[in-house]
Amino acid sequence: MTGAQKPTGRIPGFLRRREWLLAVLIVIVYFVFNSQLPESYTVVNLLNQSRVYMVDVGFMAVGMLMVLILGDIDISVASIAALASTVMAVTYNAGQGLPFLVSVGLMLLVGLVCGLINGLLVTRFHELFPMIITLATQTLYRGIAYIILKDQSAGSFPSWFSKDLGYGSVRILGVEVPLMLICILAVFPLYYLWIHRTAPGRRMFAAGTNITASRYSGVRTDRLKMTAFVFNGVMAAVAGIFLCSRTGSVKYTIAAGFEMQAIAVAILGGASTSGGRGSVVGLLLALVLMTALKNGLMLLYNDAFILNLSIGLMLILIVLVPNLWNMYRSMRTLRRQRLAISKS
Amino acid sequence: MKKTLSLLLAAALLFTLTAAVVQAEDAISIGVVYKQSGNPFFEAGVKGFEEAKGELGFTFEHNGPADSSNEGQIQIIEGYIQKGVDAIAISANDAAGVVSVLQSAKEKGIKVVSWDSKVNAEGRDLNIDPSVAQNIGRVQIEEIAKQIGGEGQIAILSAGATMDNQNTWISYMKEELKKPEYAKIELVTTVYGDDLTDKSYQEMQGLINSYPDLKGVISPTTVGIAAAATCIKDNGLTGKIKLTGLGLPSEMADYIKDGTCEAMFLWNPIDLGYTAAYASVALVKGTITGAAGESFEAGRLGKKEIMDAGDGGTFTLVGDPFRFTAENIDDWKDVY
Amino acid sequence: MAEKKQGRSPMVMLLKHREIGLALILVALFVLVGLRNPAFATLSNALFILEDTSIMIVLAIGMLCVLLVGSIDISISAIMAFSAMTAGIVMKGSLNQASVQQMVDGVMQSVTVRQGTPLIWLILIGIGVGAACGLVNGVIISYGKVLSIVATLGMQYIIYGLSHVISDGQAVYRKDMPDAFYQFSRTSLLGLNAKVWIMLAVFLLLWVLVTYTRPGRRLYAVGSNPEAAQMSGIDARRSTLLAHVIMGALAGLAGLLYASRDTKITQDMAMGYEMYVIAACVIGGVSVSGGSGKITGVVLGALTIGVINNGLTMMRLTGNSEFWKKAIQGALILVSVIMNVLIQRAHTQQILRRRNI
Repeated sequence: MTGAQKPTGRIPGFLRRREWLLAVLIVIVYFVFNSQLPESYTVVNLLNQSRVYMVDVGFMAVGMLMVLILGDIDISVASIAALASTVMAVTYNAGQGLPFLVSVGLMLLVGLVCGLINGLLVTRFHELFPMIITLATQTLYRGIAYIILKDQSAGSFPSWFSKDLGYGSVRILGVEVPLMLICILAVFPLYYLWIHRTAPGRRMFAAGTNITASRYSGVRTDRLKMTAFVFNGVMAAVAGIFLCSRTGSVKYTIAAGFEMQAIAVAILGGASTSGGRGSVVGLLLALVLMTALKNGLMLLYNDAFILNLSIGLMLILIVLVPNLWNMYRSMRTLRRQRLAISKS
Repeated sequence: MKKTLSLLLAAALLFTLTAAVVQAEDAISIGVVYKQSGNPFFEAGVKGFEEAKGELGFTFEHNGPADSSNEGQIQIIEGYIQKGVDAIAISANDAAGVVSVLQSAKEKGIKVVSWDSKVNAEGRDLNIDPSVAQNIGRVQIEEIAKQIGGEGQIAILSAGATMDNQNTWISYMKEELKKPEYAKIELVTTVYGDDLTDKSYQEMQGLINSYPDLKGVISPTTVGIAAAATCIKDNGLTGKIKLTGLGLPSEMADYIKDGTCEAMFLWNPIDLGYTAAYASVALVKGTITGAAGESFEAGRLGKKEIMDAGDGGTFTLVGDPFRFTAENIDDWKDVY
Repeated sequence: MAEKKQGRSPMVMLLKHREIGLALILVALFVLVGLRNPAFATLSNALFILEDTSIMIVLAIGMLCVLLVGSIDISISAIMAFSAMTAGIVMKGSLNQASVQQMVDGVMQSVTVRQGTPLIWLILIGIGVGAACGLVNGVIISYGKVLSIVATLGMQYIIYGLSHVISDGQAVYRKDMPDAFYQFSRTSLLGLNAKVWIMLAVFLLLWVLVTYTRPGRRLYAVGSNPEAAQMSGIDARRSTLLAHVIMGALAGLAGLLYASRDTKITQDMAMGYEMYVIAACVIGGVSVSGGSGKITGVVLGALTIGVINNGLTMMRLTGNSEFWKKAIQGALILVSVIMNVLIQRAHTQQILRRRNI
């Protein structure tokens, strides 16, 4: 799948790369749903719906990807988003408190601190699986949001925030493109350069593949891990910003369950929970695929459980099928070699 | 080969699921959103929409998030807007959290009715209230006072500390308890079971262990009252700790018959859905605008007046909560 | 032999048997909460916690097997819901109170369970469905080489979806349940609840399995060093499969107990329960990277979670705010897990120091 092996046989080699597989799937999904729902399932509508499916989970997945590349996992991101949103809404206090942008700054700071705590715990207690640490901090962060906000909901954000950013769009080439979508798309080229084109980015892949070897070759792996968790925390807070602009109000339950969606998207995009793998382009394509699939299913079946069921299937199949195919291929090669040996 | 394989897989994935929803072109279409998918209360509400559909001839779809989240409801609403429904009828998980998206729906000419659990005034055209919140609070206090003989300790087992309707009812209960005739009743505490059966059960067990003199429990949530009934019965305290609240007849039938819960209340979710359907159609047809002082015909339930809700919006009432006892429970346990 | 003489000091004892340390934490928690609310530290409440935690212990024992081979299963809550729902549909179908899907009609006719007839059918169905789910998990993970988190995350979505499909969104209530099923989690024997007895039976069975039988020891071998295990002729795939099937079967059993206790089966039953189970294992000293962990530790770990949850309920009743509960719960789990690591480190240092001498 990484394209390391030379393609053999009649299979187009490019399909062995996750990115191309995703691209093909996107096209298939689009045409299947478009034929069923020619009026409502259009590119224009999909662009509009990307606000719902792509942006907040997308930012979380951007942060998650880096953590996954290092072979860690963070299931506290949704709680970080909730705590950061809570702090923002409470300090802004419907215009009575701090200036709005200062509150947003505080929000990012909260994300940073939460990420820092996760990172510290993970690097100080190597024996503990990050999943367990972030499981505890997940409850803790959301618990703090609960203490701050109690049973209230906070909101009444400035209208440019909840109207223009939340629901506004820009006309590009005659098509309405949501402002939010442009924001997240702008992140991807920079992220691509960081992850795939700089030395620290490459070190992350190396550390994720073999942490001990990296450490012995002088890479400060703990520092890399800290970077990843802090970045992840900040991205979770950014996700919170966009989520708030869409919902217009904050309760302590905001974004519950988003962490699993973020992990699922990152894995779909080619990352692996065992580290060392992941691709920014794959992540973007996985987000698009998820949007296309979820929106189509929502329109067609309008059933939350069916939606989840197909995401689950997709998640397993996209990893399982290439694995089985590789196994089949290696078995076939082995048999051929044996055959050749016996013939000679 | 691989391409064919992935093509086949994706196609199979998409096609094997059941047939597409076909929408009639000219009929009014309503998108129904409820708090949670698979919750029997809302299943019954949908029955009300079905009934109204037979009489009025609109089309409707219904859905709720799997995890009773605000974000899940927003996804569903966005889907309805995309489909171009004429009206959205919603029971909101967060009264403030869906306002933005519903405002964008209203800008596109979609009428918004909230039912069971309201949406803030800016996001709706009309709210269908099951009953006056004050009455809901009052009847439960009256009932528990009657059952425990007018004196002793009582406790409240609520759903979540963040649920608007729960908190409103509880505040009215506390208001009611200030009356002199309830002077000997002491409300010891309010606990929260988060509408999860096992957590509600634990909270109830905690109440039993911590307050040996507890006489009665009010649980104004269908999940809570069922868990409390199970817990009281498991502890062999049937008759010693009285129980009332809001419960589903299908779930509570056995406990009402064996006396664990002598009487409980609930409004009829079918009537609630039925009224919401009639209101949505009236709004779409333009016979009402949702302003106070108007009225509309709601089929078998007769004329419904629209009143000022005091929160900047308007509402209409379905009826008072119905009292379920051992005498009448058999008539209802298979209905909802 | 020299070690034995040294090992008499209580500190060393404590470090040698980490379970004792955990038990001390448990007692400390018990006393602390008891001081706040005397009703907490009573025998009847202790029994209630034991009863209530039994289901989690059963699951945690299953999770131990899975963690031992270096795998993980986050689909257990879905398996619980699915097994219970399948059994529930059999109950309902036989009572003719609900329209049953045509695809299960045939099965229904062959397995008619009437009011008062064998509960064992329902139990077998539940465990069977659970084991089947576990088998699918195991096959995908061991033979399909999909990472366990990914596979079981996907399966979680799929299995919850399946319970929704087979139940058509309808819940199963007390009125649909045969009395035998209602009594399943309520019968008492010698003063102990059936849940506790079932937990003890599962404990004994699995204790014997992982300590004395070959397949059980292999779980440790595969987890601690897969290559070495492979070299010595152990089929790691088969061990992984076994662990997942055991987990699935136990999740099925736990699902039935859970359903019987709640007297209600919903499609989203037990959502989120898996995280508590994993936390219980980690607090009990199981390594998530595989190969180490004791069944007694797991039981104590689950009891710690049970005491934390119940303790928070009881503390709150004496005036502490509802809103603090969640944060305290998170903090306590974090502290327990970290304490465990620190004890472990002290233990390792002790050993190293002894070797130096």
